Amino acid sequence: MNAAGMLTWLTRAALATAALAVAVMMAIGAIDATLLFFGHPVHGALELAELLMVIVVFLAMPDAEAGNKHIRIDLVSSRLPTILRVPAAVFASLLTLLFFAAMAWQSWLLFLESWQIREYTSGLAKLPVYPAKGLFALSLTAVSIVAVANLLSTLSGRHRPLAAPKHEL
Amino acid sequence: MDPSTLCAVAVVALLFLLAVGVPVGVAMGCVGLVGMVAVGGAPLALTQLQTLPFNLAAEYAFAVVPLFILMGSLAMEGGLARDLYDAAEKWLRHVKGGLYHTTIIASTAFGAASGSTVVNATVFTRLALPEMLRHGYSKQLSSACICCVGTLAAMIPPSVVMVIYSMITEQSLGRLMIAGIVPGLLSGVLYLVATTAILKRRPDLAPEPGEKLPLRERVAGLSGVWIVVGLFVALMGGIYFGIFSPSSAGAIGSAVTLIVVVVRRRLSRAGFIEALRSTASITAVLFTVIIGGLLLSRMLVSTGAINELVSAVQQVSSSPWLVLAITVALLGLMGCLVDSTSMLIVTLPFLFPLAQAAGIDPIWYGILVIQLVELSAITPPIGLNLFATVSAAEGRIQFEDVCKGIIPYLMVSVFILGLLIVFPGLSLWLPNQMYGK
Repeated sequence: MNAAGMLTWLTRAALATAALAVAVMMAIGAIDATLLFFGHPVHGALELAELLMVIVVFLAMPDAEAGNKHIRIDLVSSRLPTILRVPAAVFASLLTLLFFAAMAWQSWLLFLESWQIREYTSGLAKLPVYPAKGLFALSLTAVSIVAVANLLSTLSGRHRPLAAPKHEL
Repeated sequence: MDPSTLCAVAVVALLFLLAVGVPVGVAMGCVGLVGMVAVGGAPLALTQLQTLPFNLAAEYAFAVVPLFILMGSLAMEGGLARDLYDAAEKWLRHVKGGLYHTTIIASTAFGAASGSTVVNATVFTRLALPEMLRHGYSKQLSSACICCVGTLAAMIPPSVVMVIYSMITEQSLGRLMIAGIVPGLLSGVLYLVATTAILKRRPDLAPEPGEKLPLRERVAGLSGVWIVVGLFVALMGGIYFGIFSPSSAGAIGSAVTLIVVVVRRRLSRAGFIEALRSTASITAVLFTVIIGGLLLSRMLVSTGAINELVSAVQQVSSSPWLVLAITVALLGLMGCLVDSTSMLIVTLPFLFPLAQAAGIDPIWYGILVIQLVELSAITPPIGLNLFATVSAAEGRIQFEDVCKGIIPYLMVSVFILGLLIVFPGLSLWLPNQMYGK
């Protein structure tokens, strides 16, 4: 498998994990709300949902970046003269890379701090937080790697930012 | 650099980045971070970058976002919109313009399962438009009707736009959801009235009505409707009476929808996986925008630019009407050019503090903002629902068709906005009954 193939596999696996986390969040949330109605809530359901949310949000991000799904306003950029479109696309890709790389760098610091103190949730149920922070850092690193690949594709002229996806709201 | 200069530079930089095609979340995040470096040095920016994204995602209240998106996806995959449409069509077959009315009622009801205006417009374009055109309904009015009524998914809870408003402004999502019920239903009724009025003036826009079905057949058609109505009543009732939080309502709503569509054998394994994948994907995209928006917002607060802006506006006048006029003008203008999510996240950090300083009820203000979002979704040239309708129509209509047909519905939407401004009770009566003033 070449580097591009591995990256595609990685983003798909991360998205599949995020999708699984959505299903678990739904199941735990529904069971907890039902049992709460009868006075027997599931201990740790809230804390688990919080950690699952991190997995949903950040493990789906590499796929969003790879698929160019982020919301853009293409009102002006789509009307730029051809000579300006490539520099604009390169600039947009570079800035995206810098933003996610900075976030990834800080996320590793957050993880290391959490790992060193073996951070646990502060609620009734004690769940370890550092694995979620580790996944958070790994995901943002993967987003940054995808952003590098996007930048290289843009520089080589194979890739153009797409219009805003039409499925959000 | 003084706060107002910094604020002006930030706005110009943001507009430039958006214009060259930088993703909205990235553009806002970068401007926010650079602004923080300028004001408080790198440590302030890095601290925010380190803590904000994780803490935002790991907030239980925001679990409502994927769960309500999932509920809408499952309802769409499971054909619940088709059930609503078929039932309404049976009851309205004998009415002039029955398919317009059917679409309005079914789409309003589907808003109770779907939180997305684009999903509603897409689903009903695929479902209703071919039928309407086949029966000789006007191409322009049919597409515009579907497009416009789809926006009610923003007002009728659960609504993703409401979740975004509550995240940015830190207002109670439960209260906001309850506040949207009366305006949402009222809008549906007004669209029905407007369509009847249009057909009175232009009877050629719809064919002659069909024969009235026997009562037994019409009642039998309601069998597929109970799940959406029942879910809406149960979820909103649960939130209203404090039985469960909006996030729990989202979990129960998606689980019950899943059980129903599986029992009815409407959902394949691939459909379920696709619903989960698209939910995760949309959530990631939304949170990227929200993270960027909050970085921008914190920069504006930390520079003192917001306080200066509020003082400047209050020096002109402290009247809430001025703030409402600014809101309507700004969102009305931006709505023609920018998509709803970006518009909300870019403008609320500026507008909401102004509204608070003018003493405007934050829930009422939220409902007005959501009505403006609805308007923006159908205002040419950039209206997300206009695009969704045209692309889902698969060549049956052109962009010009829906733009021409939308004009009367735009006027109704503006009229509804006027009603909501003049009569705050329409938005506040129900939540005030629930929580007190």
